Amino acid sequence: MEDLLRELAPRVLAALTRRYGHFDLAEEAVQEALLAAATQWPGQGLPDNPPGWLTTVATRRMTDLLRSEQARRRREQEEAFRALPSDLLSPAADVPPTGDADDTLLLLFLCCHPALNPPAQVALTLRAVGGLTTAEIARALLLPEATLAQRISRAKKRVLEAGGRFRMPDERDLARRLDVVLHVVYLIFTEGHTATAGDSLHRGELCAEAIRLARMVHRLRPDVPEVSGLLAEMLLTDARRPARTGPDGELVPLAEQDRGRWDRALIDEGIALLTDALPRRRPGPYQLQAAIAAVHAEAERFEDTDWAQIVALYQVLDRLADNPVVTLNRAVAVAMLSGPAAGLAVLETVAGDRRMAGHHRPHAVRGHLLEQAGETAGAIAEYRTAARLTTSLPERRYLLTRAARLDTS
Amino acid sequence: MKYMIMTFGDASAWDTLGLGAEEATWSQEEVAEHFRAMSAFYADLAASGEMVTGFGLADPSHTMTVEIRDGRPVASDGPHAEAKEVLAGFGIIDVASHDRAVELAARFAAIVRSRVELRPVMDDAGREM
Repeated sequence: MEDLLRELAPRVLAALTRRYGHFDLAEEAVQEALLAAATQWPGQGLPDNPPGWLTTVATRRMTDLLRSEQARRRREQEEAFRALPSDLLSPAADVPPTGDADDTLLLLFLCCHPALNPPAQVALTLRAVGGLTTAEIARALLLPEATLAQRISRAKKRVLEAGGRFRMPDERDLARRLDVVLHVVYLIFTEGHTATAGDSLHRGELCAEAIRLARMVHRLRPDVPEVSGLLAEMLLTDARRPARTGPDGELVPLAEQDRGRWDRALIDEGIALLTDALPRRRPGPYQLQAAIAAVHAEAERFEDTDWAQIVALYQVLDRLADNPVVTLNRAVAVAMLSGPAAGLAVLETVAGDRRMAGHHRPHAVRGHLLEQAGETAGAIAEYRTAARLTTSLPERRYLLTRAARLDTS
Repeated sequence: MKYMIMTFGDASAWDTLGLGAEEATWSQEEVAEHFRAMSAFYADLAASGEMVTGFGLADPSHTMTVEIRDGRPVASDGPHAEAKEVLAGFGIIDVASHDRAVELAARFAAIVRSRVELRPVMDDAGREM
């Protein structure tokens, strides 16, 4: 039942927003309707028409909210009078009719409005489109519920202040807005990229949530290769999850993962998406990252990895976006293909990059390359520096373990 | 990303409410203004959805030291050091960027009229390498 509710949530919210405007109030009304359904349906059984039931309950609540909103406004004498929602039923003439599918996309555009900062976009998307409760999102993000509730309500206000409208952006804006949506989905995915078990189980669910959102966007825009690319990248990365952590939650590097534990179904789905997207010859970072993950997935053992292809893909990626992190990854791949000295030479090219100053990753990569080159003392020093600089607990643990292993061998 | 903001004071600060030695004698107006500014700061953080938690700490005379000696826990009073610097309070914020964390820390430093320390909180998400 929970799945059904969450499937219906964005559709009902879109319908309400389209009819009455007031995205903020509509969002509140839908949350309350979902709560009513979650408490009533288990006892009374599913209604004949679940979306209709939800829409009716949410509309009733929306009318109340609009009335009290109007009363508040009257009191403040900001407006002498506002029409009741029943008078606003038909959309303005310049609003082209759109289907259900587009409605969900419009909601995503509102939640990922450029006026919001990424934490606000993430919170609002998880609630309004993902249909998660504030408590669930708070638990997943390791935040107090009050903090998250406030963040969501502030975000809704800001969208309205920024003139966010429930209508399709024009063609030129559309690509840019879709990029933001993809970025937010990707952020949700990396937020759930947790390595520890126990307390953090709830965080891991964010990965599943991000994949669910990406599937939703892909259903709406199967024609955009980067949408397929993002979904493929997340599926291929998630496929490695069972092998990515050891029994105590420690990070297991790609080279040492038990590939038998990779999820073949996710890999097949990711590769199928890419096979469809890549021939369209509109490559982008998500497709390329996914292609790299696919090359790893196709190697039965680490030794079988087609490093030449991975290096080539990183070269394209490096040209596409000026991103030192990509260069670091390319250095690792080059080292695997042509030896550690070649990798270190690539690493040199980002040595002076100010964006990487104080960052742990160049040191972690240099540590690996020095270890590969047999320069143990240098490798240990780099691993320790990287361990000091990272703010990720599992990464710190991995780097310290790596240094300790070299130290005693 | 989460950060901890920490404030410090010397032991005498708790007696006089000032948070640094040279600020140890605040006037009545200054004390009132300090509390006003502090609650405004907390209210703003709560309203923006950036506040995770925050507390002021009790007088350092309440401090206990707990340690393991010969495999057993031993608790004792103190240290009652006349330390120049004692942790006076802390807040944890969750913000969009490092710059924002620095901005909030600066505002806090102005309110407590003393330096504050800002440190990232470790994240339990990590990438395979």
